[in-house]
Amino acid sequence: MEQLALVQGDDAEAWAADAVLTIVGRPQRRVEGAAKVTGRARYTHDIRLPGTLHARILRSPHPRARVRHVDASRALALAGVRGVLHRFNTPKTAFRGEETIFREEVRFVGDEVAAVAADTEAIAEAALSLIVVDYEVLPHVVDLEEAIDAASPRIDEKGNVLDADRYERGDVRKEFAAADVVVEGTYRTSTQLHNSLETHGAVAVWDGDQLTVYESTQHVFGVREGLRNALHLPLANIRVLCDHMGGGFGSKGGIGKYTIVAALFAREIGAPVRCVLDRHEENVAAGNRSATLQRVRAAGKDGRITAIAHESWSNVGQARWVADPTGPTKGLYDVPNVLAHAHRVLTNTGSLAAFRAPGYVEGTFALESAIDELADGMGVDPLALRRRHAGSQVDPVSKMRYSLKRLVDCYDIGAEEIGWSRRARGGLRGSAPGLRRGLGMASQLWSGGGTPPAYATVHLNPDGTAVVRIGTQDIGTGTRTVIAQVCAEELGIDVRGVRVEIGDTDAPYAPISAGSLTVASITPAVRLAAKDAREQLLDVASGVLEVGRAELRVEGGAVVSRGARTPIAKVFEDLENYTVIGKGSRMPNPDDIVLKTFGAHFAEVEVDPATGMVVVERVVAVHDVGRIVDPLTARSQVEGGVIQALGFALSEERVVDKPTGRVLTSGLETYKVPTVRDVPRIVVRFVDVPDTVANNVGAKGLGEPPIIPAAAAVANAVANGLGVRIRHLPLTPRRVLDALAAAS
Amino acid sequence: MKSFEYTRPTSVQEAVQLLSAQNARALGGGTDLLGIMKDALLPTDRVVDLKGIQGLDHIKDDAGTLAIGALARLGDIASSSLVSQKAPALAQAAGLVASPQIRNMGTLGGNLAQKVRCWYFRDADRTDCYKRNGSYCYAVLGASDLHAVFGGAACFAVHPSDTATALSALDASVVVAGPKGQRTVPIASFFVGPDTDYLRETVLAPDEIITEVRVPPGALGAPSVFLKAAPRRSIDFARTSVGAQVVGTNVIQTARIALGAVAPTPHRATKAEAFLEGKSLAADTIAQAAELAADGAKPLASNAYKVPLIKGLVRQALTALAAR
Amino acid sequence: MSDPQSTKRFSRRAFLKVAGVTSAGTAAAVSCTTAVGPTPPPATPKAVRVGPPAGAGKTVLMQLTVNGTLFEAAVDTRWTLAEMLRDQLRLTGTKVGCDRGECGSCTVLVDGKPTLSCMTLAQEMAGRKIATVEGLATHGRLNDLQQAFWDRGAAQCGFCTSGMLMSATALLTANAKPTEDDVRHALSGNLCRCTGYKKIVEAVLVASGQTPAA
Repeated sequence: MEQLALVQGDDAEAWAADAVLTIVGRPQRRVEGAAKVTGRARYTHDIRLPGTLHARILRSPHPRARVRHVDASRALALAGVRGVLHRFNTPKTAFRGEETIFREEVRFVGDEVAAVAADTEAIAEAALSLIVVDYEVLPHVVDLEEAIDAASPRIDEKGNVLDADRYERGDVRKEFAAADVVVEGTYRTSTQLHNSLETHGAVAVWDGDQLTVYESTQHVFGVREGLRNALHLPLANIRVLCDHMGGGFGSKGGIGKYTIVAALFAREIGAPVRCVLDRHEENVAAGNRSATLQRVRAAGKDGRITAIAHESWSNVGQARWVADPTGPTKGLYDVPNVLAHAHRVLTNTGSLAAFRAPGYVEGTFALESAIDELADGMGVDPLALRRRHAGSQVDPVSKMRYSLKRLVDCYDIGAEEIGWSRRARGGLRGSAPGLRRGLGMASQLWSGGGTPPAYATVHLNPDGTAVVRIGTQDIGTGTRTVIAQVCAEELGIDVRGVRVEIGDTDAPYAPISAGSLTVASITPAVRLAAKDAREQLLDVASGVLEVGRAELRVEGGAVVSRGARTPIAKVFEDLENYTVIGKGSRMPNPDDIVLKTFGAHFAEVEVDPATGMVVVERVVAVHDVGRIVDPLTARSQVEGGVIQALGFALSEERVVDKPTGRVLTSGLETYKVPTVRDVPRIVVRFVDVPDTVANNVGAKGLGEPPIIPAAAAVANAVANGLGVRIRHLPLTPRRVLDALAAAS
Repeated sequence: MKSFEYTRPTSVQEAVQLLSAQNARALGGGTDLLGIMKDALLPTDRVVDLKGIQGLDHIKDDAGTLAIGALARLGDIASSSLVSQKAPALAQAAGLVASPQIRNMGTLGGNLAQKVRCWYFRDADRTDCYKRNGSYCYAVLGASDLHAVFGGAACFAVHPSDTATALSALDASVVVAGPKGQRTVPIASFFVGPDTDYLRETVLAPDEIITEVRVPPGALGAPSVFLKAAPRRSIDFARTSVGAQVVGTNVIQTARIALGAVAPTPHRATKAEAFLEGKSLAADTIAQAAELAADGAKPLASNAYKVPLIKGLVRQALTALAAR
Repeated sequence: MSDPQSTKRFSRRAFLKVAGVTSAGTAAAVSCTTAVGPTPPPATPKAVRVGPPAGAGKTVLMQLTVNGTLFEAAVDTRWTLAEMLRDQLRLTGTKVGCDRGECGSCTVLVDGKPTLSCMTLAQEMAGRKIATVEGLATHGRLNDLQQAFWDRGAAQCGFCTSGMLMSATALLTANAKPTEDDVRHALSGNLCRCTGYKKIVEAVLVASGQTPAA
């Protein structure tokens, strides 16, 4: 279905590449930094309302079962228990295409079966074990490859493997037949768990028919929408708040079942209800990056890549969508013949949630491994081979021009920085006897152009300070700070004079903080709101100062005319509480132009064949994402993306017990998020050329790009150093040792 | 957590008396016990906080023997110059346990007496696991990445302690106090495997505590080393570790090689040890000893990687000793 | 769960009376409402009284110092230090990320040592000195470490920040000029998922007056 977005007014001209900006583009410490280093910053976990009750969720111990009966009488009899919800007493509450939050057929270990509200979390927890559920246990399958097997239990009547997307250009079959070299590989990636340090959770409180929900979320408006659908309330009766939040990485894209549980209990009991997941629940029932099985065939002829065929299967749990891994195969390289075919595979495990560049991280690993294998087969340097297909300014999928593409610049910068010329076939000697050293690289493609709708208001106070209101949220990326920068720049005031009010659905709408959408979606709206405010200020100043409007500008908190500076406060001095309210909305993206981000990562690794340990020594990350609004937060994004990718590449892996369907790695000792001691040197470079076609700020998104190519670069470096290619992430000591044993 | 009685005795006698009650458990640093209680893995009705007992946190030279109190913190052992000098493998092992916070909190006694980290045992809902008084081992047909390649029987959980591995190589002994007084147990017989009793990992009776660990003069000062392989450089338990010590200059009189996280108890690579005696640490000798160290390993479905890992680590450990 | 026997035996008045007269060192099981901490010396300023938390089961009255303030608190005997700090003293700067001692978000200093407050029983803290993130700034002025964290962009989502600051505080107290490797070791029990390790390490070096390597 086509979606419409209404926009009004005219856009501002984009800041030119050579525009002199005093705040945008300079490092700015975070506007909320003091609150975070003093412990004052309040997270959903920290919300303490008087009389709060605590809800805990009973989860299925079976990977698949029918809930025949729930007996909550013993739980209700426990002192301090205030209510129990389950499928036989809960009103229909629509949730992500299903009618209720408590399924008749539970589909994974951890699926919601019932919930308890009690005076304390401990009482609620104790009550869970008193609920008696009659389950009819059904046959299950949790492993991706077993689920694909036709002999396995069918979870859906249509089967476990569902077609998701098929794309073809050119004639792949013909080119494979005509090729000089054809390589083929089967690649596997493991389920990655988000593990935001703040687990999912919500606190709900009603005041009459007004519902307020505090939620750790990447989309306050999405939570509002979910509550409207579940509870059939007018939007005006719902307010969702998220002041600070402890990470989401895609998993906090909207309402959770816990949100509905909290809201229902709060309404029924008439008290605030807090429902916060623990770490174990977070890792069984709050989403994940799908495990994938991918087959890539690549053909080369006369020194060029002539065809790529990429087929993928993703373990989505029960989700109705798939994070398609074949995106990079379709769009990254200018290759004439491409066949991409993605499948969604149902299993009895927790469903996927978007995880930072969903699909692209997994797909880039398979694609870029295959490109390296092809380059080896063709006897060509893998970077040289990529260069031949990276220069085109036309998107091979849509055949439209890119607004800006500097991928080859990324190659140049990265190759120089890592010392690519040292790379040798078969790798290099390590720093100690027995160790092997390798270099690898991979490219990145992602969107990041942003989108309407997004709206902002800027109130200019009589003293020359300003308040920006926009219904976005800062998920840790520095959104507040870039908003303040763009507002201050446009308005001509100090960044410290800007207060940023976000995380509230009573503010103007802004999109989800995901998909690298935020900066490119909201800062153009903020800029227009600030411009509107500035122009109104100049109207006022023109009258007050009796100077022609055209002779005035705002600079450093003052209205400046030829030779004279009048502080904004002075302009307003006699106007009492006259308030300028500027309004801005995100304009549509240009027609017939494709907005993408590009980048390349280069990795240098050392592998110990005796222990299977892979040590990443250095990653050079180069990105082409338009204008960098704040180099400090931008570097944080890149470093964070690289390190998360290293976790995916080397250590992070959900392990599910096949016979019982239980997640064995639901804690942070068994699930291996990188520690500070696992982190290599990371060199961050930006092309930093504003994309003046994209939007009036010239910036594109940077959330996703840095997590996309790092794992592939590391895998290529390991293959280079070791002389053995391991096509299964993460490259744990176990996989490395098993691969070496198999190779010898 | 379920309700429990908290007690804080001030003497060993009082402690063991308090521990004689049903489901009483000793509390040292708490980094293991609190997890067990939160997940209700083992019934706990009484917590006996040993930290009120004075004089159990010493690290001292006791007439030539290195004597370390059970309440000595792992962090203090790691940074002790006495330990680093006399028993480097122990200092290294203590310094590689978990995280700085856990080393600040965790005690040597607790590190030796901890429960296994098997991901089936630690799953609150697996009430039928052998170690929870059940009669099933999920690792046999399940995911056995963490599990034993030596000595498993019914239960295949490995002993997770890094210091136990080092102390096994150092020929230490463990002083145990109980209602009938003290006894000293050689480290080689301190740990018990599932063939003896799958409900416990050590010889400790429920009302016994470790009071001291002693490293004999003969093992002190001789080169020793501890190496640990784990997916991450911090927080993790070992996937395989090795503690090694050679006594004798030029020609090895005694070699002790203890392997951690590969068996229900610290596993002595006795064939490799015997092979080394009377030899010097030449490269080919080391290589042969490393091969012998994995002799007899019987991997489960997903832990065959531990066999080359054992060989690799032993080779590196002996190479490090040869360089001393 | 509260033990009905003990709740009956001790009224609130009784437990206030018991407090301050019992000192540590009794070998008997400390049940219910007995104070387990040493009596503060007479010169000690009057403690801030904190009543039992809402819905508490069995409580024990004890004294402890948090960020320089002496508290006399009725602590739920099942509670961890993290729960007591967050839910009773309302010091929510200390975060709970895993509740199993595996992430370091809950790190506080107990008598100067980085300690996992989620794996420490509140009642073990009788007579101890605890420092949390809320105690780092004085009169609203950030200390050098906090300032460096802010200036260097070391706090992203901020959820790990309090624990990082406490681990780093202990490091800098013990070692005024740590190397980068020292810093990494000291912070290696604190996970940052965002993951801003590089800037966190830089900030600690800056706070110690050093210039981090590029």
